[in-house]
Amino acid sequence: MGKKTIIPFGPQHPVLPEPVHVDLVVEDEKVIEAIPQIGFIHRGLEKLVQKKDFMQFVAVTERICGICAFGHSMGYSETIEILMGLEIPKRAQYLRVIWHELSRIHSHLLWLGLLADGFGYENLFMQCWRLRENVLGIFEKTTGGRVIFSACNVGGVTQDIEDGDLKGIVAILDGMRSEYEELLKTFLYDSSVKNRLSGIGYLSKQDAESLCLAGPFARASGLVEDCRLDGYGGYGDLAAFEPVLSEDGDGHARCEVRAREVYQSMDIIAEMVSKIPDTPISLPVKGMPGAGTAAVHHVEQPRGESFYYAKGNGTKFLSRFRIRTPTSHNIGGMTKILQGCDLADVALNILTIDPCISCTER
Amino acid sequence: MTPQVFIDITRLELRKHAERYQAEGWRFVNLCGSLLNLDEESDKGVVEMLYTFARGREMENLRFDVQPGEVLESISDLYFNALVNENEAHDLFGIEIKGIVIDFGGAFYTLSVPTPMNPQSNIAIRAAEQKTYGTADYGACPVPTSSEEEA
Repeated sequence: MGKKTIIPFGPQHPVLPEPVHVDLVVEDEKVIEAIPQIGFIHRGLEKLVQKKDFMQFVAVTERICGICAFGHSMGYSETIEILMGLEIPKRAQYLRVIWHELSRIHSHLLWLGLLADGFGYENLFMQCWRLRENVLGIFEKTTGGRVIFSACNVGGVTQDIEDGDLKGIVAILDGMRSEYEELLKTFLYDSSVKNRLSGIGYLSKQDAESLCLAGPFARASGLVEDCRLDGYGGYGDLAAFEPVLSEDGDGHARCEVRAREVYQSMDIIAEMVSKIPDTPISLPVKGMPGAGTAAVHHVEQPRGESFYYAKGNGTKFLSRFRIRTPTSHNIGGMTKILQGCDLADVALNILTIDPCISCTER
Repeated sequence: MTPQVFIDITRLELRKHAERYQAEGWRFVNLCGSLLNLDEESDKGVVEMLYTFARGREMENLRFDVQPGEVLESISDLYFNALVNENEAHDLFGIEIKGIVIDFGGAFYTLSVPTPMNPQSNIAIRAAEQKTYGTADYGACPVPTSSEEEA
């Protein structure tokens, strides 16, 4: 038995796009405990509800994170709509689902690229990000923005997509499928990828359940957790929806779940485009969130369940708005998979949970 | 739609409810503190707590007030992931919570502004009396220890 040593990991580390600090308690080359610390980019965005009215605050929620930007504005808008008892037009619901699923594709391709970079497969990283450009191009064409595109608002969406452009989106995604198939084969069956990911960071279904994990991290351990199953908004009109699951629970399973979810998102978009009704895209929002009213809502972001809570006070300013993001739940799982792993696997293990610290700290 | 179930309880009933939720297979979703009566001098420092639990498509929210000076019991031994939110509530709202599985003692959020951000909280008032409020040394954060090690 070696001597216990504490090795600080982060907040700046080549594998981390955002700052998180972990104190690794190691014995020889084995990690026996990992203690996380955050707070390096806390911006106090929740407190801004006291300065920005409930309509203006959509712009703030979009800026919580550069990857889940649309999802947060959608989650916030839907929470306010529940709070005020608004039911938005069907076309707006469908457009939200289309942009949200495009965000999921772009997030997963970004993460797959980062993962490839993490285990030293630079060419695979480049190909993933090249494919991701197609999705960013769709955002730019339909909204004018590539990351933060202000398409969502309380009461609906701010811009429509012509039916011809919607078919064009499906055509672009169909065109991506053959190229993505090649990347998928590499991620799932290439021996160098499997050697680096299989068996590392194993988490059982029981642990995933007791740690209340969210998103692909939970689904890779066989846990059926997906807010899209609620069927809220446009998701309720899908013919069928089954979460992508894996029973393996290791790093490779987390890679597989996210990789397959890209196809699932493409299918959802195609179905939404084929069914989209011709209705207005928003409704006028009148009045204020009532005094003493409160609403909760959750949305399946690319990293898992994001929870939203809003409390009205009869004025145009909310008295409280709260977001709990998937990574703040998955930090517990991260510490669990780090226990007992090799020091050399720490970086990759952290990467496989796809941490988003901007979201977590808000 | 997400069920809108809000259950008003007292601070002392939290553990009992959390134990029942855990036994029945509910998962912990969120813990949220909200400052109440910001403009009323008499009630300053009261924080409304909201604990959210979910199971499948069910979701329930436990709601109660914490008066200045009152201490909460941690549920992080039942739900490990609650430690992130509990340390956050301690650091930002000044809620005193006993028994957190990994208690960072105020060093979870490394901020460059004085914390807790609720200056009416007990922790902030004590720090102000000792003239230490807002004078934390952010250069070297102590390495926290788990409660197991302390035991």
